[in-house]
Formats: sequence, C-alpha cells, structure tokens
Amino acid sequence: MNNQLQSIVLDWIPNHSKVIDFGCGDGTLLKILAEKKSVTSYGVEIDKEKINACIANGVSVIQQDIDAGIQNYKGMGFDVAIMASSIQCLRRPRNAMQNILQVANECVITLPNFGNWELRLGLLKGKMPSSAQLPAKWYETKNLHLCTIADFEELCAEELFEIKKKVYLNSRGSSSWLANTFPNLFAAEAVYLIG
Amino acid sequence: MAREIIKKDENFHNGDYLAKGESPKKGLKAARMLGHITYLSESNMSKRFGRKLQNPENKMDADINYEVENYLQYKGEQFAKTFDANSYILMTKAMDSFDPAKDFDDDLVTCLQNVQAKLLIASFDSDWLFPKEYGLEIQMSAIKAGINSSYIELEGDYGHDSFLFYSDRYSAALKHFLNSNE
Repeated sequence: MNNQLQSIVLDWIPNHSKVIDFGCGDGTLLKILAEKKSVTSYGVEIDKEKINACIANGVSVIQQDIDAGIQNYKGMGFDVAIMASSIQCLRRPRNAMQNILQVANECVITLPNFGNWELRLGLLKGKMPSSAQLPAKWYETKNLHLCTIADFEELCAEELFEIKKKVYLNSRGSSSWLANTFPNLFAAEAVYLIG
Repeated sequence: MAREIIKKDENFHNGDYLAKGESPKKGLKAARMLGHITYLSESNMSKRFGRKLQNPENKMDADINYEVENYLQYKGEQFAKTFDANSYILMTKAMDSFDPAKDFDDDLVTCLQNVQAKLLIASFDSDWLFPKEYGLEIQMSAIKAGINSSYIELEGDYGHDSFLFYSDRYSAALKHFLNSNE
C-alpha cells in the first residue's frame, strides 16, 4: 500500500476503534494503525508466509479464507472493516460486500481500477495488461473479479451501499485533477469509505 | 468408553483391586489401545503401518496378522504394566469435564476477559481429538473479549500428537510470536 493511500486510510479510521482487515497481508497497515490510532485490530489472511509476517509484526491474525469466513465476524462490535485490494480476489464479491457491512458500521475498500487508460491500451494491443497495481501475469494472478470504478460504483448504487467518502489516485499513487475528473479512465486505484 | 472397558475387567473389583492384590490389566490395556488410536492420525497410521504383515518371530500373540495390531498390543501391554487403572479413570474424567467457562456462567467470552497475555491458538489439520473448529471457536471468543489473539492452522502428520513434532512453520510461528512479545 503506497504512502498516500495509507494516509487516507489512517485519516478515515477513528482513534481507539475496533478494526478488522480482510486480506491483511503482512499486517503493516494494522501495525501502523495500532501505533498511530491506538486501534484494537485483527487481520484475516490465508497466505501462510504473510500470516507469519503478521505474527512477527505483533499483529493479531486469523488464518481463514475470506470468502468462507466474513459472516463469522458479525456481532463482534467492529467499528471499521478494511478490504484493501482484496475484493477482486474473492469468489463472491457482492456477497462479501453485503456481509462486511453487517460486520462493521463502516468499511474501507480499495480497489485497482481496470478501466485505467494504461490497462485499456494494453488490452488494445491484444495482451492482458499489467500495471503497478496489477503486476501479476494472467496465469499467476489471484484476481478473479476485476472491475472498473464505474462497475464498482454501479454495484454500490444497486445494493444501496452508501459511499460516504472516496478518493481516486493516479498510477503514481497521488491525487490529480485528471484522476478526479475522469476517474474511470485516469485513476489507477480508488479508495472508498462505505456505510 | 475407555473407562467402561476398564470397569468391565473382572479384576477391577469396583476400584478396590489393590486391596485384593490384583490389577485390571486387560481392561487397562484395551482402553489404552483405543486411546492410542485417537491421538494419532489416519494418514500417519497408514504411512507407518498400512497393511504390512507382522514378522512372525516377534508376534505379541499368535492371532496377530498385521504390524499395527502388534504395535497397539505392545504399547497397551507396556502401559498396563506401569499405569494405575483408577488414575487413568480419574485423569480421563478430568479431561472430559474440563470446561474453562464453567465458573463464568458458561460463557467463554467472560472467561477470556480475564486473560492478560497475548494468545496464539494453533490447530493441527489431522487432529480429530481437538479439531480445528474448536481452535477457531476460542479465537472468535477471544475477539469478542477484545484480547490480542491469533489463530493459525498447521499441517501435521501425527494427529493430536502433532504438537510434539517439529515443523518449519510451527517453529517459525512460535518464534515470531514469542519475539513479538518482548
């Protein structure tokens, strides 16, 4: 997670809140949140190496498949759920979104924008595109349900998920006029606070 | 079941076997053989014994065909020679009735709220005495109690006994966890 994205997420999460991060990776974000925001936090992760990294980072982690596990965390008093660059790796993202909003009052979601012009250009050349946000080859990627910003916001509208805040970032990881004006074409990544 | 087997031994005498100078060794041996299987995993048993036939020269009993039978007979016999039947009954009862939430209105969450340490809950995939669902249940209660707690699932070939054996991931998890507490 780049610095800009990290500071947005840090900004949106209240002090002393109870946070769960689905697809928490090596736990870096949760570690920073614990240090700077004094949150009580748990990460959910399936990758064994990353789980070990979480433990080494002093981050509480649960080894579990997110697709199967989200609903187990309902009624546990979480204030915020985070899903950073994970939603596109799930088998049932819509279902996951519905569940996640029952786990916590608010949810921070970040996603790579498949509508970004560089990716469109790559596809125009006839090959599966890659970028800093989507580096893996088609045969190695964990992404199952890639979407564009327009697709994601359409789903939110259909499901009546309220987008409370959103920030679009360009491929250098910063906010720009182009990315904000034509996000579906110029943003490489989007971050949402959904309620 | 293990207790029932011991009590059915004619030398049990309602628990007073010592006064009669006897010991319910047959019952104790059979109970231990049964217990032994539950501590191990199917994959380990089949890897170790499979359907291998027992060498006739060191059969425990003329009836024995397979190596696994001989092994369980031998282990059971050794155990019955050294272990007291009443102790076995009492210990298995203590294990069965252990319930940490008993003094907290049967609520594991309330019980765990008293924990001040960080937890690392590890389950082994081949353990069917204490399956991984139990570990996850403890983890869920720990989250409700707001305790710093991690849950991991490890691979192990030795069923419930897997925690006694080294594996890279098991060792790394423990090392990281203990170091993160410093």
